[in-house]
Amino acid sequence: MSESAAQIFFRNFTKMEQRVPIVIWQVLRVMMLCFTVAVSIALVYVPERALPIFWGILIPILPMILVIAPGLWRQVCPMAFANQLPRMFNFSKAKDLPDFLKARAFSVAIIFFVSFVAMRAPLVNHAGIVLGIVLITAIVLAFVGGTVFKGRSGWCGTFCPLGPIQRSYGQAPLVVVRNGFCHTCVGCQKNCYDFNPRATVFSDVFDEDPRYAAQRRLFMGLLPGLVLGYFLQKTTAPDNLITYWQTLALFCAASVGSFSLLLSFTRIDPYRISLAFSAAALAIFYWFAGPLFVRTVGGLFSAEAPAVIQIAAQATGVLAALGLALSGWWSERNHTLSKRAASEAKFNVDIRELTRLPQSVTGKSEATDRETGASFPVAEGASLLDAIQTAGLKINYGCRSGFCGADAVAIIDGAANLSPPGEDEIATLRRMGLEGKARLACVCQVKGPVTFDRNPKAPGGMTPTQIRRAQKTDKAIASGIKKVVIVGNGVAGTTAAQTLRGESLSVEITMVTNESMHFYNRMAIGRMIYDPTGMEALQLVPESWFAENKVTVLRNTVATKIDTVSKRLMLGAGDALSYDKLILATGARAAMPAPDFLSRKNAFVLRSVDDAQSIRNYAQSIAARRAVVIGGGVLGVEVAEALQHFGLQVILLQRADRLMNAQLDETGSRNLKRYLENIGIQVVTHVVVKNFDGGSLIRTVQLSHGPRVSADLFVACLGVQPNLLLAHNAGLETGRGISVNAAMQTSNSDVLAIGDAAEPKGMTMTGLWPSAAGQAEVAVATIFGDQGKVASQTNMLRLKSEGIDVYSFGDIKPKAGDQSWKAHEPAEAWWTLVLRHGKPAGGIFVGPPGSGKLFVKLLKENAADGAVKELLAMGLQQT
Amino acid sequence: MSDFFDYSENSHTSPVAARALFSRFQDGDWDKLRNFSAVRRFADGTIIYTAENAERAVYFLSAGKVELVASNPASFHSPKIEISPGSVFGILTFLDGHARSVSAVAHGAVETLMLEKTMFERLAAWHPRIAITILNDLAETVASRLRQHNVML
Ligand SMILES: Cc1cc2nc3c(=O)[nH]c(=O)nc-3n(C[C@H](O)[C@H](O)[C@H](O)COP(=O)(O)OP(=O)(O)OC[C@H]3O[C@@H](n4cnc5c(N)ncnc54)[C@H](O)[C@@H]3O)c2cc1C
Ligand code: SF4
Ligand code: FES
Repeated sequence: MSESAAQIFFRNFTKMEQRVPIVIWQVLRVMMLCFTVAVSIALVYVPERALPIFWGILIPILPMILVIAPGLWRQVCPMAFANQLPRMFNFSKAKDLPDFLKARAFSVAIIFFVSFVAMRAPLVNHAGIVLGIVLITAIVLAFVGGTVFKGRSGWCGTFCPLGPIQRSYGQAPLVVVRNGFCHTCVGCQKNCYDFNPRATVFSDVFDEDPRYAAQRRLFMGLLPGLVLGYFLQKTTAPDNLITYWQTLALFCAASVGSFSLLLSFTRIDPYRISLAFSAAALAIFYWFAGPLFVRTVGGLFSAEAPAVIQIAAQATGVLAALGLALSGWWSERNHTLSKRAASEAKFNVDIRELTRLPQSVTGKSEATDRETGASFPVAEGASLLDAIQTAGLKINYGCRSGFCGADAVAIIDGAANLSPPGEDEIATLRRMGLEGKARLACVCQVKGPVTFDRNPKAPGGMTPTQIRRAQKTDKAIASGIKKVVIVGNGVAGTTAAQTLRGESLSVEITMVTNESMHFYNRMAIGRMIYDPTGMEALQLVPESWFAENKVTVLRNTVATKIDTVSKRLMLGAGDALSYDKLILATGARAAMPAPDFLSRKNAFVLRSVDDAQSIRNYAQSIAARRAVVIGGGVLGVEVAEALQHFGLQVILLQRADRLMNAQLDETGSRNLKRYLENIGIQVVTHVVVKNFDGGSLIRTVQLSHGPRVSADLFVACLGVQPNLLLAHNAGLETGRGISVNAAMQTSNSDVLAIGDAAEPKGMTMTGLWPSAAGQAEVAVATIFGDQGKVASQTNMLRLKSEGIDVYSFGDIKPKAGDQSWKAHEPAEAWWTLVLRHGKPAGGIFVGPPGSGKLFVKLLKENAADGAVKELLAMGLQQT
Repeated sequence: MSDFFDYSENSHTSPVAARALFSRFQDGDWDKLRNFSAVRRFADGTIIYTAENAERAVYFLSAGKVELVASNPASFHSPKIEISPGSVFGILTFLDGHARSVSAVAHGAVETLMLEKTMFERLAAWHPRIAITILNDLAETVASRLRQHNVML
């Protein structure tokens, strides 16, 4: 059946034709009313004749009518007619049924019905006078209900004891007869059976109001028990009334109980359970009432009904039950189809727009995530990391340059469709123990279909045969170096250890760190503020790597002093480590706005995992609402976004006249500020923090021009200070950092310094991850007597934000003789480019997320004139 | 008048009147929305999300059919609904962050455009007007579905 046919199946009465002229119905109604009155009178005066006809013929016929064409009964029902007379003749007060009656009407109907059945054997079956009075009373009540209440709410759809039975046996009418009493629907009752007899049961069983639905379900659950309980006992006056009712109640309880059990412990749809119980009640009814009917009819003609016919009557009941079940099943099916059609018809999105892919997507490159089974197209030139992020899948990342290894993924299929790994990537993967097994998504260009797993150790990945380390000679033996001690286990120290081990299996390597954790991704700690799962994502080298590679890591250990004469490193606990070569990779610490800043409970910096955790824990413990971030450099902006993401109101204070003033020009800063303000961060520039007020807690910060800013917590992001005390106390030459030559040697050639702590002569300290890793390799080369020299790299600085692309690199201000270019204004994305001898020497980019990819790619590839033309085509304009 | 039971405040007009989402988009708005949303494809039978999932994302179905299956058979409002291209699904969790009430399973090769809440917020930072239109239309959809709750969706 098509969907529209399914909808026709559920047409409400207003859309149905009135096939039988109303006059005919009226005549039938009058006849039926008269007949009922006559039967009632007969019940009073000739009960011995009327009772068998009533119980043996009229009552057994009714359920069959309700299964086949319940509407027929509802058209001619004498109670309905009496109820509708005031409406027909316009003297009904047509009031709304009060809410308390609405809520109880169905219970009243059930009580009427069940009481009536319970009174059958004791009274009504044989007391014609009582039955007659009951019938007349019902008609009168229906009439009274009609004079007061509107529509059919005074009886038919509400209190009538036959109502629940009609809704059960007539839940899936084979033939729908149009509601003949309501010209238009006045909405007199909920889920009206007369409005749409086929749909009512679905609305009943699944009504929003759990009590409403439960009452309807309960009746259907109770029915088989009630019928069975009635017929299995004597239908004449019981000897012991109490036992009789108890037994009847027991049957009802068992029936309702099994209904509830099925509902609670099986996954069968409640509609189907209700349908099955209604059908079962019908079958039981005819099992007993069928033969009775045959006998009664036979009795009318003084004939003995043959046993076959009695059995046939029972079988008819079973068939009727089957018919009800089948019809219900068909109804359910149509109902599903109708719902589908209804939901499809509305609120659709323009499909042409939906199917249009982003312009950059050509269609050939597609990546599939094994875990979720989701596939997505990869834009031309996009890295696998970009694509994974664009697809909205969670993935860790850090440097986006193949150095940190945070985004290692296992390639399950299509490894050949990725760009081959470069040296940096191989080195990082080797450090992570994943060489040949995984790839770093940030440096993989996708050229065809690939299936990946975000767990780099997932089984089924690449076989570790693609890259193999050449067997090398042990350089430590050749150079006579036995012991190397490294202070600091950040990227500089760890890369040094890994490179050392790569060059020599014999050299004894000891790392000392005052941190409690093994090497982790310091660049990603900001995310830990808002992402509780951030911790695992930080680990870049499996813990087992250190033991497997015989690298001793002394954690929670402070290096206190260097004795350069005896070549010993003193540790906080009192012991000492002797060395042939010492590498200082002590990194840097956060600069403080005031010497005692961190002594306040709600004052923080962000340099280590512990810092990030403290911020998160503190904010949660006091249900913080407002945070102040002091410092509008790269870290300040990242921290402000992280706190905002965590749900705090954030105020970002910047001393300079603009954000990230060292990395961006005015327009770039302005655009960044606008973005931050749009996501809810309040940015205040050109302010100097003068004072912190409060005792053990900072209450407010006082700004030098007067105002005070209050908050629950304060994070200072004022740049870093290299950790050079150890070197300084040992008499090594220091400047801003520990002074080193190009080979990373300090003023004592057995002591080397690398990373954020080191200050190579003639170079600016970048304070960046790739520099630290690069310097570590140079230091190891130096130790083994090789020529190593730090390449003066132009690092691309990227703000780690997913809501804005901010890149800055090289000289952002042109020098004499340079060519410079900039974006049109106003433009969504702002960029500048400085060309020196035709090659990019610097530039910035600030734009919507993802928009800077091409710009960065061109810069990274050291784009020359041709690329500039491309950039021009993208809207760059010469200044 | 609705065929089913309609308890909306105004029963004279159908709350299910067809209306295109984002019809107020201006030129280029779709491109911008696409930049903040993700194309996701699912092979036949793939579970797009399960009922317990609380990932704040709304999906626009661009190809294939998706079957929404109620986790709890008692919430009949959709033991199973199959939706066709052009349909939106997953709005509630997108809006309130609570676990989904149905699971979504791909029927045939399915392609969706998925908009995550965080991406939506970023979209709002760059293009507030577009974000208001989206939120408004999604809210209208939800409001309308609420109104016809008993229409047996
Ligand atoms: C939040 C944040 C975000 C960043 N984002 C980026 C980014 O996006 N891109 C980028 O390139 N760079 C970024 N950086 C900078 C980058 O993390 C550093 O450049 C890099 O970590 C430097 O590495 P390192 O090994 O020299 O020093 P560190 O990582 O600081 O490691 C030094 C270690 O030595 C330990 N130590 C110091 N003194 C002693 C002692 N006396 N005894 C024992 N142990 C000692 C310290 O506790 C520390 O564990 C970020 C930094 C932070 C904090
Ligand atoms: S709800 Fe409508 S159709 Fe049903 S009885 Fe009342 S007026 Fe008639
Ligand atoms: S993000 Fe790819 S290696 Fe750092």
